Amino acid sequence: MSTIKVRIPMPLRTYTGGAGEVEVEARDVREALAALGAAHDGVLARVLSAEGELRQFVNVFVGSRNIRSLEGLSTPLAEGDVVAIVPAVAGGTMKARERRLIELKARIPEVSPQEAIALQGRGAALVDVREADEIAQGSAPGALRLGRGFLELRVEEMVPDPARPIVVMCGTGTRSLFAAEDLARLGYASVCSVAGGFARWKSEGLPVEVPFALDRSARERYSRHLLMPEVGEAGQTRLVRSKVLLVGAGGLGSPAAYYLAAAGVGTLGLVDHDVVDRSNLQRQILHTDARVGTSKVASARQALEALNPAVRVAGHEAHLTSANVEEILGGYDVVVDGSDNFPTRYLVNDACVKLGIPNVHGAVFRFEGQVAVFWPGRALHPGPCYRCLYPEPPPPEYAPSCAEAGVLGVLPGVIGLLQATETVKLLLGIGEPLVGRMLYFDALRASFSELTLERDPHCRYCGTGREFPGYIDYEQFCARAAA
Amino acid sequence: MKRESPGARAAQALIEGVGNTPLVELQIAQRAGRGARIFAKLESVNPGGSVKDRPVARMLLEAVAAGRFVGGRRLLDSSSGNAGISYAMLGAALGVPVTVVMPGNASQERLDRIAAHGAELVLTDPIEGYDFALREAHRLATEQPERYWYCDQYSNPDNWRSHYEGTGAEILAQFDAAAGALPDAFLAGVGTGGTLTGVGRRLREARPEIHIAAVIPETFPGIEGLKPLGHPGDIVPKILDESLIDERIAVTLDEAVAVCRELTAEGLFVGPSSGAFVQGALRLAASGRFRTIVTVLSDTGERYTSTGMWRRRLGDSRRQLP
Repeated sequence: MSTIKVRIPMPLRTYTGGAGEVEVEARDVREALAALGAAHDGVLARVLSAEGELRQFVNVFVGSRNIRSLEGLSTPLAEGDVVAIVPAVAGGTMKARERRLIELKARIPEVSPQEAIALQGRGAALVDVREADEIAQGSAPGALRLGRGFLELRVEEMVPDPARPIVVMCGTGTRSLFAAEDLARLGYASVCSVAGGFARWKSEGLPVEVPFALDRSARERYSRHLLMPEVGEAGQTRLVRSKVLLVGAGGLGSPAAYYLAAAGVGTLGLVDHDVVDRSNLQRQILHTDARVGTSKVASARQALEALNPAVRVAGHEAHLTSANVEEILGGYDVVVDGSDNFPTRYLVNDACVKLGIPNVHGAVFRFEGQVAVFWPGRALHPGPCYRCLYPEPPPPEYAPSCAEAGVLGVLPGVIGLLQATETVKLLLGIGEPLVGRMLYFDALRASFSELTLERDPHCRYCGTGREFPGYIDYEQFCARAAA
Repeated sequence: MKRESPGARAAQALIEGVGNTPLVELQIAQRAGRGARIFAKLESVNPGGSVKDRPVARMLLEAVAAGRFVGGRRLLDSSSGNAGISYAMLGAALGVPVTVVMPGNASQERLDRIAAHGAELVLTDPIEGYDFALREAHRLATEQPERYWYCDQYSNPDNWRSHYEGTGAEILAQFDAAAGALPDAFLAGVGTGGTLTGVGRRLREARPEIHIAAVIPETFPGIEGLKPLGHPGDIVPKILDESLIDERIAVTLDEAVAVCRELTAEGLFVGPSSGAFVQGALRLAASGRFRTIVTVLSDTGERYTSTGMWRRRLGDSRRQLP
């Protein structure tokens, strides 16, 4: 074996990490190319045909002699030989990275990391354009982390003022030049790039913070979310940090919790004091035949943790009452109401109104279901609460429970998943939530219809300027309606 | 074009031989089987054997008229071959001294032809690719502005204008005569962007709904004269109007060469970029979306004999065995 230097033509350097020369051990040209291919994936297919012969329009030189006039691929090599791979015609690629960089450096001002901190102190936005896995190793404190891929799409949300100076930083100061040019093109008046990038930042001992980031397995699990700019890294991180409380781990709570766990909602609270009954299994898909007789919260926890071990399941095996409702609901971002009785619905509504938590309501009856988001505390366009719609509970004969009237088993699946969808939208802050609207589903007709829900300005609980009147005796309130 | 310089008068017949090339209909179109017709401008009949005579003639005449070569300045540009030949040939005819920067792996036919016309050749290291030659030309032009006038075919607007007023206008006239209508689709490659921009603009003005496709070669070994657009770091030539492009069609060198060989059966002898365009046109034809497609056969196949592309290969006969 001899040590051979292989010279790599410009267009193939994308495979060699930019290297113009690669050293290999080989006895002849064939072995040298094979060694090159083993070290750098993808090169060989460009040079050799499927039959293993030199491709047309590719020449290989040993020293100054073309191997086509020597012994072809079997041309022997001696220690110190230089093998060059050259396309047979000029032209072809125009990989002009370096030329572009020279052009960019002439146009984009560069600053040192120290100067970047000073600029940041004077109000400039420091934008870190590296990829998420790089940022996970550390980033500059207070930097806006906007990967290069979505930079143009998202920068205007984070830096709305085109006059605000922007300092762009990447790993070593190359990508930031390209990014800076793009930002200037978007209309930002003053854009500069940190020379040497984060590598220099760190080596100069400047402060570094390690931001929260999705790990590798999370990245794989949520890859279909990460592909969508509406979710992406930032949105998935929000989901992972979110807390959703499901009132009831039954027909509606089962599908909702299952999908919310799959979607990566970090904490799922479950309120249910029931045990699994065999008659639940026709629709309550979190539970299994083997778990009949065990608590619904424990059964649900088992199913959810099996699906996504990263989800924290907080069980509340309790009957929701005026006394414990704030303690249980407090701290959750969204409440999903899948309860099966009116006292609980009113209690959940009142507590959500008081705590300002959006209440994703779902209800089913035989072949029909309805979904709405009750959220009078919404900042911009507040909607009604449950009481605006139903100030008083209906007499029981107008609202029989599933146990009395029956329900099509798949129907709570449809409604529970619409609740889960609304919940994810609320957590991500995307789309139009069902605030001020009720979506009504008729399974037999296979039709959806929509009702507009108005706020009642005189609503006792959410009316404008009203003070929270306090919790009531909900059993009595509903029993009175029955009377 | 009437110019008053003595060189231009002497070279007038040669210059007049540039352009007005035949529009040929390709029988290979039947292979696509959708009834589409493919037409192509046969650019190898230009005096310099390639489409490059068109932009070079125009850029040269404009530069002569503007007095760019007063005091013995030389025309300088980079080329992968065909433009270099046009510069050398027309420069000699017009009495303009020419310097061409080329990568050292340009085919021997090209190097010999350019040298034969007395042009100065600056060869760059082939391993560094075409871009290095371009940089070298730029460097020479910046360092010695009194010696060189940098023609820069990548940003010289007379490049695309020659195709707008020449190639494009000719296609409109010839197509109407041959097919009784204007083409549904136009397909070209991108070297400097001159053909695509000039012809594309002219055809789109005449027929706004025309479909324009660009052929994109693989990056290595590449196709002589064509640039792969769309990779990060790939330069987009200044004169290329990317907004014209409706579709990009990737073609490999092997596909292009196979088409070149097939075209010989129709009496056509053209280089790999022409093969690539026809391959692209066949894809458009096979899609069934277009009745008539027009493209360009950029240069003669004689310029590539040293690459061995016309030799029957061992592999060919082996494939024919049962």
